[in-house]
Amino acid sequence: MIMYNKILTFIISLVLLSSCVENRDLSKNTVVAHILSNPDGLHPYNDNSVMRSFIFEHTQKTLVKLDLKTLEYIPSLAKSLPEISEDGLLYHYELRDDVRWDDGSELTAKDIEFTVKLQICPLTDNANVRGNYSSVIKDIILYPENPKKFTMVAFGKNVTNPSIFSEVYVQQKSHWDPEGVLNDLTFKDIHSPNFKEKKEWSDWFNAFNHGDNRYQPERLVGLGPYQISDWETGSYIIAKKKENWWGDNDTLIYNQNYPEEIIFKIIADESSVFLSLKSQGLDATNRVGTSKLFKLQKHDYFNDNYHSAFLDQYSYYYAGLNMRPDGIKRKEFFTDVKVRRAMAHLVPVDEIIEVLLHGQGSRQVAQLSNLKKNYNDTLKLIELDVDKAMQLLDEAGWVDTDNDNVRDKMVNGEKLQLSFELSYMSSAASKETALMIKESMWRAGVEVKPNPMDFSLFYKNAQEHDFDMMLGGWGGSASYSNPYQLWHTSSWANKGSNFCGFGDAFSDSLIDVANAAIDPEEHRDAIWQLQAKIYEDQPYVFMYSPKRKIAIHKRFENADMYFEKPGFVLHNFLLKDSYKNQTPMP
Amino acid sequence: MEQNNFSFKKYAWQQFKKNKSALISLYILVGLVFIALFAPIIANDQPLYCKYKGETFYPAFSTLVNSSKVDSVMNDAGVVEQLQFDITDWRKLDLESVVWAPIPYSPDKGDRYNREYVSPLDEQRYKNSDNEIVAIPSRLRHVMGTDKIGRDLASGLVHGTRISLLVGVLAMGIASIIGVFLGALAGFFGDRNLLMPRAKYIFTLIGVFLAFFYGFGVRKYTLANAFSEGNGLIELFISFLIIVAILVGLRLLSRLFKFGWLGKEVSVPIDTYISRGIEILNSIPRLILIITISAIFVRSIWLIMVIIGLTSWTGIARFTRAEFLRIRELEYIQAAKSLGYSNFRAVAKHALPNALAPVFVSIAFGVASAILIESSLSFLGIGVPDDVVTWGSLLNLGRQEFEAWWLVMFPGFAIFITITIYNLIGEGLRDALDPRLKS
Amino acid sequence: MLKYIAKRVLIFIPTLLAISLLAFILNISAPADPVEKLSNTADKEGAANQQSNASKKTKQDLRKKLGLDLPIFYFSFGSLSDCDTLYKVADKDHAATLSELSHYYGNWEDVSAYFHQLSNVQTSHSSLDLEEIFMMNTDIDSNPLYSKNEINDVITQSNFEVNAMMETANPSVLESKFNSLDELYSNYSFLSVVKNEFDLAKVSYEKMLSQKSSWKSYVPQIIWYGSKNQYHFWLFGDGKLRKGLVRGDFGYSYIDSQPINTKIWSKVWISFSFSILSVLFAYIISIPLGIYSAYKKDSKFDRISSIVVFVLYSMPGFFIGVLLLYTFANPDTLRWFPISGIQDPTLFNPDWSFWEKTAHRAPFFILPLITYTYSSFAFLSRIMRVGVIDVFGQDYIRTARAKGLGEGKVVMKHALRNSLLPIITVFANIFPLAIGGSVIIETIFTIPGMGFEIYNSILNSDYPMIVAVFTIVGFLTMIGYLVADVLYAVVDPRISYK
Repeated sequence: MIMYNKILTFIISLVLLSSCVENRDLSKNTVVAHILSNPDGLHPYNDNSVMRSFIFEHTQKTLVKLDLKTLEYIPSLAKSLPEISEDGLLYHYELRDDVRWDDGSELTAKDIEFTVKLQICPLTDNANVRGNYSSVIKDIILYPENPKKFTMVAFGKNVTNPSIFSEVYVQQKSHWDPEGVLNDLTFKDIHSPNFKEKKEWSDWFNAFNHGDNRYQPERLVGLGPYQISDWETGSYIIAKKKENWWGDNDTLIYNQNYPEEIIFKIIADESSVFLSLKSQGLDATNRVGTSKLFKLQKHDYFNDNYHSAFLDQYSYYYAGLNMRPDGIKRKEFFTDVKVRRAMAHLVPVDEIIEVLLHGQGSRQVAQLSNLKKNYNDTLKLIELDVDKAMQLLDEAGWVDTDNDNVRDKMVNGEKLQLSFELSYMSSAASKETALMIKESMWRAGVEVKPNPMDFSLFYKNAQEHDFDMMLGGWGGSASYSNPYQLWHTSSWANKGSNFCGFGDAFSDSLIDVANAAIDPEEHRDAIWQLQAKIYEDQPYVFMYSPKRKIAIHKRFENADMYFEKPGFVLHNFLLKDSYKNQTPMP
Repeated sequence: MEQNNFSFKKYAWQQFKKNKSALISLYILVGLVFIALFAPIIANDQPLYCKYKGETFYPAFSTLVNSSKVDSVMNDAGVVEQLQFDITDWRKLDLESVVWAPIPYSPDKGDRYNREYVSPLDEQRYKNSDNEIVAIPSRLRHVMGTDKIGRDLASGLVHGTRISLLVGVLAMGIASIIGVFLGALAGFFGDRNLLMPRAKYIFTLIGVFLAFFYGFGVRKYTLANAFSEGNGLIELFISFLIIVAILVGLRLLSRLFKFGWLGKEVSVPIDTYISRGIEILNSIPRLILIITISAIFVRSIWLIMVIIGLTSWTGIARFTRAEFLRIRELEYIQAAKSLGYSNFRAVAKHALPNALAPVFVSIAFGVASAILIESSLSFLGIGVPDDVVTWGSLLNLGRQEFEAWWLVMFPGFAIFITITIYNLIGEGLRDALDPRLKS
Repeated sequence: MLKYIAKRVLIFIPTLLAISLLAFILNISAPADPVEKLSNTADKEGAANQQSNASKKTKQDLRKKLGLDLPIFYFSFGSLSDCDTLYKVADKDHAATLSELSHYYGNWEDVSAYFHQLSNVQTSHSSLDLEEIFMMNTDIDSNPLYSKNEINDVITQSNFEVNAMMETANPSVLESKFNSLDELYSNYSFLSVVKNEFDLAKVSYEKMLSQKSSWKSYVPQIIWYGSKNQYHFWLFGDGKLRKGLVRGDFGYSYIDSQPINTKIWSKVWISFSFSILSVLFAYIISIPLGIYSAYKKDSKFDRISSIVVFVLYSMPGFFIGVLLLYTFANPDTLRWFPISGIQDPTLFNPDWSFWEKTAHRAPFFILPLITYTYSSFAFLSRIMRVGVIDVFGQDYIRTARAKGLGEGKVVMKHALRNSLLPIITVFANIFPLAIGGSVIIETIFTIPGMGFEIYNSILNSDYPMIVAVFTIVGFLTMIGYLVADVLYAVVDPRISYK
C-alpha cells in the first residue's frame, strides 16, 4: 500500500513539473490566426470548405479580385478589367508583365488557358462548382503575337461574366503538365456531351486529383506571397513568406505583405477560443462567440490588447414556407399569400435576435442584405403583430370551428387543422428558434410541431419539397449572387434550391433581365422589382443576419475590418515598433 | 415446521429489508416514480385551484384532461371574458384565492424577465400587476435557475423524470433480458454441450433464413408504412410471431426425419454463434446504426429506448458468459446435473444468482449511461422530439454556456441519485438472493 | 489450449467478412447519398452556397467513378420479383420506387417499361419553350389566350407532378396523379407533346396492373452477380487505382481523395495513446480502490469513495472538460496546462527526436486524458469491489483465514484471482477502443484524433472510411475477445473450452 502511494505521488509530481506554460513571444513577426476546422484539402480546384478562400488569399492569386473597401472588382493579375465586346460575349484580358512563378518563369496566357481547362473539365474532381464555370466559359482564345493577351468567349450575356475569374486560382502549366499531356484536350472536347476520356488524360487526372495534391505542403504552390511550409492535420497550418516574391515592390495594398509567418491555428471549441484570447494566444479571429466577446470586452486587459467589433455580414437565416405542396404528403397550408403574411407577422424576429444573438444581428426585407447597394429600402420590415396575423388568418378562411384552439378550414372536402411541422437541422440555436416560434404562433391558434433532423436528411427533404415550414440560411458575399439558383421556377421542379416554389414567368423574366443587363440602371431596376415581388409573395420569412465577431491583437497596425469575409486581411498586419523590442513575459 | 410455509420470495424480502441503504434507495425510487407520475401537478404555471370572479377553477387538473381548455367568466361590466387556460397569465389576474403548484412554472414556457441564464443565487426579476419590474416574490423564485430563454430548471427536472426513468428502465430491461439469456446460453453450454439431432440443427438453420425472409424481407413495405402511420409496433409484433412460427414449425417438422445420418446427435456450437454475433454487433458504432434507423422511422422515445437496449446487451452478455464459464465447472452444478435435473433447471435455480453480481453493477450503470446516451442523441437531433423535456436535454442546455453551472449540476445530481439508488438496490437484491449468505 | 486458439484464429476470417459486408450494407441503407453530397456544397450550419448545382450527367459520372454503380456483393438474397439490375439506377429514390413497385406487382419487365416511359414524359418537358407557346397562342390582334404566368405555372406544375410520380409507388396516389394530369393535359393544348408520352405511360401502367403477379414476391431467390461487385473490388482492387484490402489498401476517402491508410495512420497513434494511458490510469486507481473498499466494506472509506466515484460518473464529459480548462488553463486562475491542440505551432520543431517531441506534447495530453478517464473509475472499482466481496463470502476463504494465512496473502492470492474475470472482460475492450475516441473531448481540446474523423465520415457518407473503421474495429475486437478468453482460462484453471 505504501509503495503504491509513493508511486502515485511520484507520477503526479512528474505531471505537475512537466507542465510549464510559457507566454507567447509577442515580439515575433508571426500572425496566429484562428480557423474553426481543418480544411478538407487545399487543392486549387477540388475542395470547397469555407477556410479555403481564407488561406488562398495568401498563397494563390486570381485575375481579378473584390476590393474589400469599395466592394468593386479590381484587377489583380490582369493589367485592367476586361474590355467587353458589344454583344457581351467576348472579354479581352491582358496580363501584367511583372508576374513570375516560383521557378522564375513568366506568367503567360497559356497558363490561363490551362487553368480554365482544368476548372471546367469533367475529369477534375470539382463536380459541385464546375457548373458555375462550365456554363459560362465557352472558350479561351490565345494570341501568338502577344503571350500576355487572351480573350474569354462566354456562352451568353451575363452581368457576372467579367468577374468570373475572381475565384479561379491560376496554376502553372509547365509545373503541372510539363510533358503537355493535355495539349490535345480542347474546349470543344470538354463541352461535348459525349466526352470521351483518353487513357493519357485519365492517368494524368488520377495523379492530379490524388490526395497528396491537397495536403502535401510542397505541392500546394501558387502565385501568392506565402508558401505553405507545414501542415499538421487537425492542428495548424503554417505559411511562410516567400523571399523575392514578384510583387514585393508593388504599391497595391493587397500586395503589401508584412508578417514573416502566418500560422492558421485550428481551435474547434468556443471556450478554448475564449481562453486563448485571454492569454493572448491568438492574433486574429472572426469566430468568437457573441456572449464570450461581450464578457471579454468588459475587461481592461482585453481591450488594452485587442481591437474587437461586431460587424455586419452578408449571410442570413430565414423560415421557408412550402408554397406548392403536393396535397398528399404535405398539406395546403401556405398556398394563400395571406396565410404566409400572417406567418411573417407571427415570427418573433426581434425577440429571436435579442435572445439568441444578444441583439447582435440585423434584419432585411427580402433576399438582399441591407449592406448591398441594390437593397430596396422602400420596403418596410414586417413586425410581430399577433392581432394582424389573426385578422389575416380569419380573412383566409382559417377559423377555429371545433373549439380546440387550433384553426381549421375545409380543404378539398376534408377538414384540415392549421397544425404543421417546422423542419430544421438540429442544433441548439435552431431548437431555441423553433420553440420561440412555436410559443408565439400558439397565441394565434396555429400549432407548430418542431421537427429536427440531421443535415443530410434535412437537405434532401428541402430539395424534394417534403416540408411544411423549414428553418434555413444562405451564405453570401458582397459580389452579385445570381438569383437563378434560388428564385427561378425551373429551380423548383428540378430539385434545385428553390425549395419553396416561388416564382412565375414574370419573376423569371426579371431574373433573366438582371443577369443579362450590362447597364447598371437596368440591372438595379430588375433587382429592385425582384425584391419587391419576393416581399409581396412572402415565400420566406426573412429572419436575421448575425453579426460577425472579430478580434485583432493591438500589436499590429493596418488591422482594418471589413464586411466581406473573412473580415480582415492578415498579410497587411504590420508589427508595431513598440512590440518588436519586447522581451517575452515570464 | 416453518419449512412448509417457507417462501423464497418472502425470505428474500426479509433479507433485503435488513440492508438499510438498499431499503432507503428503494424508497427514493418510489419517490421518483411518484414525481414522474404527478409531474403536471408538482410543476405547473397554472394554479391547482383558484377562485376568479366568483367561479372556482382547477386549471392544472383541467388541462391534464383537455389541453386546450377554454372557459369564460362574466366580469362586473357584464362582458364575457375568455380564458384559455394554458395561455392565460394567471398571475396577472385578480384572483380571490389561489393555490399554486409547488413549483409554479411549466417546463416549456420562458420567463421573459429572467432570461439569459439566471442563476438560482442571483437576483431574479418580476413584473407585478402594476407593470413595474421588482424583485421576485420568494414564492415564485426559480429555485434552480433558468436557461437562455428563461425556462425554469426545477420544472424541467420534474417533468423530465418520467422519460429519464422510462429510458433507463426500458432500455436496460431489454438489454438485461437479452444479455443474460444469451450470455448464459453461451457460457453454460459452450461449444460442445448443447446436443440435438442433426436434422433439427439443419432445419433450424434453414428456418432462420426463411423466418427472416418472411418476417422482414417480404413485409418490408408493410412495416415501413405501418410505422409512419403509428401502428408499427403491432406489425412488428406480427413479424415476430411469423418468425417464431416458422422456427417452431420447422423444428417440429425435423422430428419426422430422425433417422440415420439425420438422426445423429450433434453438438451445436452455440458459444461460437453467440460470441461471433457479439463481435459483429460490437463493431458497429452506435451512431451509424441510430442515424440509419432514425431516418427510416418516425422519432419517438420508444424507438430510442429499443435502440439503446439493443446496442447495450452485449456487455451484459459478456459478463454473464464469463461467470457461467466459471460456474459450470463448480461442484454443485455437477451435483445438480448428476441428480438428474435438466440443464435448464440447473442453470436457472443455482447458477444464476451467483452470476448476477457483475451483471447488477452493469445494469445499474447502464441505466445512467442510457440517460447520458439519450442526451448526446438529442444533441444530434435524434431521439425525443425537441419540445419534450428530459434530463438529457437539460444537460445539453448547459453545454452552450459553461458559466450556467446549475444547468449541469442539478441534472447531474439527479443522474447521480439514479445511479446510486440503482447500485444499492442491485447490491441489496444480490445479497438477498444469494443462498450462501443465508444467516 | 493451442488447438483452441488456432480454431479461433481460423474463424477470424469469416467473421471479418461478415463485419465488412455488414458495413457495406449499412452504408447503402443509410438515407444519405455521397454523390449528392459531393455534387452540392452546403455549409454545415444549414446555410448553403447559393451557386452550387450539378447536372444529372455529372452525378452519373461521379457515381461511376466512386464505383457505386455496381452491386454490393457476389449474390443477393431476395424474392422472385426483385430485379437484378437495380443497382444500375442512378437516383436512389427512383431505385427505391422501382423496388417497391416490383414488390407489389411482381413482373419486373412491365415495371421497368412503365418507369422508362415516365422518364420519357419527364424529358419531353425540355422541348417546351415559354416564348414560343406564348406566341403561338396569341391571335392576330395580339390577344394572348394564356398569360405567360399561366403557361409557366402549368409547365412547372406538370414537371413537378411527373417527378413526384417517379418517386412514389402508392397505388392510390398514382391514380389521383394520373387523373389530375389527364385533366391538365386536356385543358391545355400546348402540352400535346407531353400528352403523347403521357398516354403511353398510362398504357404501360395499365399493363403493369393487369399483369400483376405478386405471388412472386413470396418466393425466395438468390441472384448471382459474379465478381464485378463493390465488395470484390474493395477486397482485391479494381485494377486501376485501388489495390484492394489483400494488399493493404483501404481505398480512397470520398471527402478528400486521400488514401484511407494515410488518414487513419496519422490519427490513430493519438487515439491509441489516449486509450492506453487512460486504461492504465483507470486500472491503477480503480483496482486498488475496489479491493480496499471491499476489504473495508461499509466503512467510512467505502461510503465516501463510493459517493465520490458516483458523482464523477454522473458529470458529463463536456462539463468536466471545460471545467478543467477554466481551472487549469486560465490566466485568471491557474495556468498550468495549455489550452488546445497537441503541440504548439510556434515552438514545435518536426526535427526533434521522439523523446523531445513527447516531452513537448506531454502537458497537452494531461487535461484531455483526465476528461477521458474520470468516468471509468466508478464502473471498474465497483465491479472489482463486488467481485471481491463475493469471494470473501466463500467457504474456502474462511478456511484460508482459519488456517492462519495473513490477511494480505489471503486477499491477494485468492480473492484477486477469482474476481478478475469481469476485469478481464472490460480489459478486452481496450483493443477496439484503440481506434475509437470521443468526439466531445476531441472538440473541446482540439485533438486531431479518430473520434472526430469517424463522426465526420458518418455524417458525410464517406463509405470507404466507414468500411475501413468497421473492419479494423472488428479485427481488434476479435483479438481482444480471444485474449480475454485465453486469460479466463489462465486465471481460473478450472475453466476449459473442451
